Amino acid sequence: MTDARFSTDELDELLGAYALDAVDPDERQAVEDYLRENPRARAEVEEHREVAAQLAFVGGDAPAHVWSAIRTALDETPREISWMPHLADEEGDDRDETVAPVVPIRRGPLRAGVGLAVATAAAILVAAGFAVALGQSDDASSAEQAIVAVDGDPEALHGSLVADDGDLVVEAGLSADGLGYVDGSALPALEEGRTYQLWGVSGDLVISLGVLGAEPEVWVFEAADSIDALALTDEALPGVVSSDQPAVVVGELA
Amino acid sequence: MNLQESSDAQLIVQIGRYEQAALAEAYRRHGGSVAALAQRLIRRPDMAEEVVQEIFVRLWNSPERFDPDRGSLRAFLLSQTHGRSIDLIRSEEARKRREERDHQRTVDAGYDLEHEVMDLAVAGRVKDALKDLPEGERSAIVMAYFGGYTYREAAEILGEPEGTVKSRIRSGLKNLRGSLVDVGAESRD
Repeated sequence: MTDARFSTDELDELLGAYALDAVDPDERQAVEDYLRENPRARAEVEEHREVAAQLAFVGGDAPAHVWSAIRTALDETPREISWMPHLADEEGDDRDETVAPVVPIRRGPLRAGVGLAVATAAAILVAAGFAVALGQSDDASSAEQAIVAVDGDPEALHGSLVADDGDLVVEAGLSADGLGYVDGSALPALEEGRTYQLWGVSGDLVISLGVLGAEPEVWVFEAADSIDALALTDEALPGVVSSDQPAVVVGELA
Repeated sequence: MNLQESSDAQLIVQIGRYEQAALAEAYRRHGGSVAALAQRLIRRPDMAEEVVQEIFVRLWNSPERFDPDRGSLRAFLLSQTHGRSIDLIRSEEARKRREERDHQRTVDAGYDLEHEVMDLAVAGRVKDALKDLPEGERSAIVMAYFGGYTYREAAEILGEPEGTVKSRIRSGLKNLRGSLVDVGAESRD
């Protein structure tokens, strides 16, 4: 809610100073409240910041030794993202309030945890059960091979990802080795500039598993065996970090 | 995906998938500007490097905070850098340093140092656009952006009413934008 101590004109006059971090804390809060309600003001602040970026621009290379410090910090810092696909309507519409902690994933062999050399922090131990996943079928044969491999695995998990109205059903499977597929052939093709994006959920963790493209097909992905559920969303290219879109289909694996 | 050919928006998506290589590419593209701005503002290399580190770790942790529809990644990072640097400048320790520095100069020379910083930092055509602004607008922007002063502090130093300086910052930024669009500087990214 806009701060009653300031008129709209006063808040508008503050936008330039706000964009340059040149306002007092109480004014800053008032402007931020105002911006939440006023897209025109938000756009103006962004324009001011673009101008400020021009003022700030100087050439020169990024200092290499600072990057080393950044990389070290990444290994120590779990991160949070604020999106999690809904698994069922009965869980309530709490997406905007959900913060799903996601830990950095270390690249390594496909099998979960095998390649994790560092396992001291609790967050990293969580990550060990949630290896990164991505990948898309290069051709029909690799998709068929994936389906055969998953369906032939007695320990594999399977699930049906279902749309809200129940009209769309997408079958998915995930082997104990972490090879998975999503049969999206029943899905509609998306418009140009859109893409399906696959999300995996493990407990409170959620991660993008890949941008799949606009055409329905059987998609292959790689993941750890601790994924509880999968969801597909419809996103603008090139995909998103966290989604505010409803799931096209979503379902648990068992 | 060839990250060097990826757009900033694509890099952000890759960062969201925990691709450190994407963050490294974002750092390669923008780390120099971020580091330069932090150093210009804070004037202490160790603290400036901490700010640079914080900005990119923050991007790694919360890439969704950048919305490509609302501006460029560079503007986003530099805005973050400016804000964090100003926070540090305004911290108590920095305030003491500033008070000592301010004590050594007169009100008349109030923004000489900021002009010096501006001369070092601003690219040529942007500097030209800044010089084309009315003096009052230019002074207000330079004081606020490069000096790290609030508009109230800038008004006191400049001996102008607060409302005047506040308005001049806004009108100056609008005029500057118009000039930069005319010379094509805004399309550099």
